[in-house]
Parts: sequence; C-alpha cells; structure tokens
Amino acid sequence: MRKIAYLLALGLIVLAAAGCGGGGGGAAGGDSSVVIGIQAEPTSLDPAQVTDYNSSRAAMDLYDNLVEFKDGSTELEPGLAADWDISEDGLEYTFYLREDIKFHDGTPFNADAVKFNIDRQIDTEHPFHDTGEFAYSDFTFGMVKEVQVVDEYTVKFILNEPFAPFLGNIAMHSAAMSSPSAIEEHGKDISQNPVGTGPYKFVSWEPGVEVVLEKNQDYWKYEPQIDKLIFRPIVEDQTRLTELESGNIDFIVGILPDDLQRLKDNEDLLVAEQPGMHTWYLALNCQREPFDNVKVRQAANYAINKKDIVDNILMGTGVEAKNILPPVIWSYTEDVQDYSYNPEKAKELLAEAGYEDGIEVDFYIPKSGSGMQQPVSMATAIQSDLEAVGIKTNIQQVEWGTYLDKVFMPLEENDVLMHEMSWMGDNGDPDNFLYILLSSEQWPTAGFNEAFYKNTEVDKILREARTLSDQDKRIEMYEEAQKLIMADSPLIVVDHETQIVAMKNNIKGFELHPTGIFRFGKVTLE
Amino acid sequence: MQAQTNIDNLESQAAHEAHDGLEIEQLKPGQEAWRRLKKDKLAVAGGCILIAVVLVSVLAPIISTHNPNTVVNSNRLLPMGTPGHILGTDHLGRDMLTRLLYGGRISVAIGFTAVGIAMFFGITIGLLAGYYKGFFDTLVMRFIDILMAFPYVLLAIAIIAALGPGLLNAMIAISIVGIPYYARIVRGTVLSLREQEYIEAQKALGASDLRILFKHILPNSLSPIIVAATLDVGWMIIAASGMSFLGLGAQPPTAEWGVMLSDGKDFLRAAPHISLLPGMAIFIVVLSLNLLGDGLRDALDPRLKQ
Repeated sequence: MRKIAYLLALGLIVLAAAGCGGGGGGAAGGDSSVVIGIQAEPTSLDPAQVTDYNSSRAAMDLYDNLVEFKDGSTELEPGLAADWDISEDGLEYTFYLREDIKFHDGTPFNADAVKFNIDRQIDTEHPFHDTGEFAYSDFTFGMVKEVQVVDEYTVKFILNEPFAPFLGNIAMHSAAMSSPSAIEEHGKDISQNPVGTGPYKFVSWEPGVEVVLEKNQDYWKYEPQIDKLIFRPIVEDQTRLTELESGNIDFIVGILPDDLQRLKDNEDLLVAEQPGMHTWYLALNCQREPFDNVKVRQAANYAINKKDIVDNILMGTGVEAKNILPPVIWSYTEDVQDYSYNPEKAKELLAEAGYEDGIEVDFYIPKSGSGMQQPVSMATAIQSDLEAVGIKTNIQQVEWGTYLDKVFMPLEENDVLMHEMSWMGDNGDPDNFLYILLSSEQWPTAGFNEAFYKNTEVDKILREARTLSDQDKRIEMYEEAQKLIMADSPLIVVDHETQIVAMKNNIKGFELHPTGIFRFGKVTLE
Repeated sequence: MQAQTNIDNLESQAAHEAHDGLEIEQLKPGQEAWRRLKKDKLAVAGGCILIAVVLVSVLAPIISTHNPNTVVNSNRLLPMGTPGHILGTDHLGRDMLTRLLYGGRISVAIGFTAVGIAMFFGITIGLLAGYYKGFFDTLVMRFIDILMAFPYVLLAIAIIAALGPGLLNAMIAISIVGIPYYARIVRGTVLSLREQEYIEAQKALGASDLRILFKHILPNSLSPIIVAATLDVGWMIIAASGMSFLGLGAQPPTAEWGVMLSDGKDFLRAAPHISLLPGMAIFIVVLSLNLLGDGLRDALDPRLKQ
C-alpha cells in the first residue's frame, strides 16, 4: 500500500512539474498594446548604465540621441541635434540642437541638459556622478576632454585627440539624453524612474513581472501608434516560445535554431531577420604554448568545419564567418586568408610546427551567455573536429560571470589557452571590432584583446586609423589590417549571428536594427 | 580466547532471543531477511531491473558499435526507430542508444561510488562519535549539524565552485553532502547499542575498543545502513545528474544522463526524445533502487516479521 502511495506521489510530482510555468495573460482590453517577451529582467532603464540587450531593448524607446542611427543601418542622421560641425583638426564637434523639445517630465531640452548628461558620466566631481555605474562611459566618452555650452541650443565637445568614430559613439545608447531634473530628483533610483524625450513614456516596472511604457502623445518627431508597450522577462526559451504560440504575448526574442522553421511555417506569425553586428570566435592565447606558434593557430583554424556548424547546429541563424569584421560593417573584405575546412592541411601544419604527436589543451566555455548562441553544442562540435587532427581538448564549463572574470585576467595570471567568445558591435565602426579585440593596447584588463595578440604593424595601423577623418584612407587601412590579422589567425571566427525575432502578424512596420536595439516608435497594429 | 568466542556466541544468541522471542527455527538473520525479500515481488522486480541496467551498461561496447562521442552533424535529430539508430540521434548526430548505455555506466558508477565514500566517512564518524561520546561527539556532531543545515544542492554547488567543475569533483561534492546522513544514523544506533549488556560484557572481558566497535557494534547496526544506502544510491544518481544538468558535473562530450537531459532541453519541441530518454533512464534506475530499498527495509526490520 505504501508503495502505491509512493508511486502516486511520484506521478503527482511529475504532473506538478509539467503544470508549472505558463500563466500570464494577454493585453488588457481597450488600449492597444504589444507584449514583448525578453530573455531576462532588465538591470536598469537609465541609458548611461545599460550594459545588456534586455535592458536596452526595454529602455531605448524612452530616449533620443543627438545623432541617431538610420533605420536598419549604422549610417547616421540628425536626432536631437538638427545639425553639427566638425573642426578641421577633428578635435571640436559642435552640435546645433532642436528647439522646443521637452522631456516627459516637462523639463526643457537644451545645451545644459546635454552637458549634464555627459559630465555626469565622465566627471568624477560631478554632483550626480554617484547616481550609477557607467560601464560604457570610458568607451563612449573616454576621448572627451570637455563639453562646453556655447548658448542655449549650441553645445561643443572638445576631444583630447582626433577620434574618427566619435559621431557613432554619440548615437550609442550610453549617449542618450535623460532629464536632468529627474536625475536630481531620483538620484540613484533613476534606473527605476527613467525620463527621456523618446516616443514612449515610462509607466511602471514591477521586478520579475513587467516593464510598462505608454505612448508619448507630444513626441516631437511623429505620433506613436501603440498605446502600451509591455516588456516581460521570460527566462526559458521554450516557455517564451510557447507563450507566443498560444497567443499570450505578441513578440519574442531568443529563438532557438530548431524552432525557426516551425515559426516561419506558422501563418499567424511573422519572423524578422537581420544580419547583426556580431562575431562568434575562439580566442587562442598567442603568448603561450602551443598557440604562440602561428602554424598551430592556423592548423586549428583549418581543422574546424565552420560551414557544418552554421548549417547543422545554428540551422541558418548565423552566416559562416570569413573575417573578424561582420559583413554589415564598412571596410569588410573577403580578400583575406581563407580558412575553409581542410583537415589534411591542418595535420601538415601541426607536423611542421613539431606537434606530430598531438596537443592537449583545456577549452573553456560558458554554459550560456550574451551573444554566445549555442555555446555547448558548438564547442562539442569544435572539440570533435580538433580531435580529428590531433588536438585533444578538455572542455571546462564555467558560469558566465566567473567565466568573464577568468578570460579577462591580465596575462601573468591568465592560464586560459583557448576559449570561446563573441563580440557585438556598438557604434558600427570597424575600429569597434579591430582595435578593441586585436590591438595590443587592449590586452586585458585595459580592453578585450583576450587572445593577447600583438603584431606591431597591426597595432600601428589600428592606432592611426582611429584618428583619421578621411574615410577612404581608413577603409584602405582597415582592409590591410584585416589581411594581416587573418594571416596570423589569433581568433578563429566561426559565424556572424543573424538577429531573429518573431511576432504576431498584426504587428506592422517593425524593422530590426543592426545595434540590436528595438524601435517601436513607428510600429502600428492592425 | 576461548572465553571470548563463547561470549560472542552467547551474545548473538541473546540478540536473537531479544528480537525474536523464543523462536525455534534457527535461521541466521541474513537468511531470514533474504527469504522475506524474495517474497516481495516489487523489490525483486527492482533488483532485476537494476541488475539488467548494470549488465547492459557494462556490455555497452558489445551492444552498440557506434562511438558515443563522434559528432556527425548531418545525422542530427533523427527520430526514434531510424534504421541504424534505434533510439534516434541527438542534436550533434550522436547515437542515442549508445550514449544512454555509456551514460548508464557513469551514472550507476557515480551513484555507488558516491554512496561508498559517504558511507565510509559517515560510518566512521558516527561510530566514533556514538561510542566515545563526550567532547569529540559534541564537536563532530555540531559540525555535521552545520552541514545538514545547508540546503544540500547549494552545499554541493558551493563545494564544486571551490573544486572546479568536473565529474570527479561533482562526485566528491555529493559524497560530502551525503556524509551527515550516515553519521546521524550510525551514531543513533551506536548510542543505544553501547549500553547493551553484551557490550558491557565485552568491556569487562577486556576487549579493545576497536574490537568492540568493528566486531560487535558495527555488524549490529548494519541493517539501517544497508537500507539507507540502497535508497541513497538513487538520490546520488539524481544529484550527480542534477549537477551535470547545471554544467557542473560531467563535461562535454562525456555521455552522462544529466548532461543529455540538459542538451535536450533546447529541442523539447523539435526532438523530445533527446531529453525524454535520459529522463526515463534516470527515472527507471532510481525507481528500481527505491523499490529494492523499500523491500530491504521491510525484510531487515524484525518488528515486521510475521
């Protein structure tokens, strides 16, 4: 009898587990609304503090920038600044602001507001510098010496040295304009009480449940069409998908490769795709044995069947990478050393390098992580490919937070020889990939050159190219740099992820942006 | 020496009589338990399943000629029943049957080894603490209490965080988590046994502490340990799979049921068999261990004797 009860209890537990999840309802009646399933809880809605997609996607419709990326590209167009001048020496950027724009709380937008927003991030003496952690401030404004208010609607940025991608930085999320009076009022709580000038206004944020925005009737550019945007964090990919398919929510991110075709076949849904500014790569420690030998790095590169990974694991949710730059970024070239799958060549190179008997290394991977796509499956396939040519790898899975700490240790303490990583572009400039990932000035902890790659010629080109304003000259230099880098093979590039979202088919006019940020301002509902 | 042997005999008789009253049929306790266990159909079924699982796991290389770790992407997500891949393939084109069999080796081995380690330390601690009492007992048992006060999964994760992820470390972690369980059971039994007359008689005859502990107290406290251990193997298998599911245990490409379950979670809709099969495997093995453990408890409990 006891055993039957035991079995019954087991059955009940299984049922209870199956019944978990779900819940959540559609939109409240009356107002038109779109419920968006995001992958995790936003960490902050203050653009100066945002570091991840879940936050930026929920936050950025609240804000505008002085200069903005055009829809669907990283070309620039006027935003809150109607026009701008760049001085001959490339050191002074003068912005002429639009007049009569107000923040959602009624505070007027002017040159003082611009100075406040930038100084708050870069000036440690600023009275509101302590209202947050500004992880991107050094990247975005590190080259800014001073922000000057010329008159009420003219503001001037003075740089320490010429910096070609600067306008792109001004279009980034960390340069979005928040209301100074809201920051003064809320202090550290500005993260939960965001006020901008954008097409949507903040309504409420219930942690773990949802972030609600409503349309800004007085938006200066156009009139938004959807009454409410509701961002709901749903961590499990399968749960989020089920919520969309059962009609409880209207829009989702984070679609798994094997579900893509089914979603495309569903007539009630629309799938939007966009090649992203993203590169997935293996970083090989160029300063340590065995990867200090360029032949070993090249051998590993030839040994990995990238096309197979893209076709069969990513199922077309990425494109095979030929180069470190993604094709959507200008100066991209395919005129570099071709590392198509060639295990025979890999074996030859290993033998030439003196490793006929094979190599054994630890291979660090995260279980999951921002931009990492399918980290475990991809690593397992790579492991199998490498083993076939005589490079035996022992996979070590590490939790994402610890993982980042581990791979970004300074060289002396860094014992990681091989690991996987991805990079997502911020400002659409090649400098944002090549200089940050491969200049020896960017060795951890200063930057993200976690392969500890150092080539003096590459260093010189990358350093010079970021200070030039001549676009053609820059393209030429970056093409040269790409050739040199790919010949050295410090990173094994595998793919560029395609951004994919799925939504109900009554949502019209949504277009993905290469930066990964969502724009619902011009979206309409049928 | 002669006197000692006599006392031993007397003692076992005394223990028998104390338990059985005046039973005439002179079966050894082990035989008696075995007789009762054989009558328990569910327990027998559990035992048979377990033996079958161990057998097929050991014979895995003979049963399946596939390599469990070779990635063949063009064969990915084949459904069950595909010729050549009876149970289909996973998301990297590896044969599911082969991986299940090799996974069984690891899961079963980990379950028994972890219980073995936990039992060894738990029994030693419990015996010493219960027998010597006093300051040593207080010190050790409070430490055991501290271990028990932690949620066990959290404690295991913390230990792995310190040791680093990996199959061996996961096994050590769950073994440590299991120690208090045995220490508590054994200490309780020893506390009551040490006051028995036959132990006092041993002491009076000048038997050493070691002799008393291992020749007289340990054998008499074995039956609750056997039951606990049988039930615990199932728990250890689940715990090890859980650690692997979280990425803390077995590392790719090792075929382990928890890892396979975790791999399959992203393909629940497209290919449910990837996670269902290892889930079923864990379920069957743990259930069989529980049935067997339940049966053993009934068989070894003298109060349930008809």
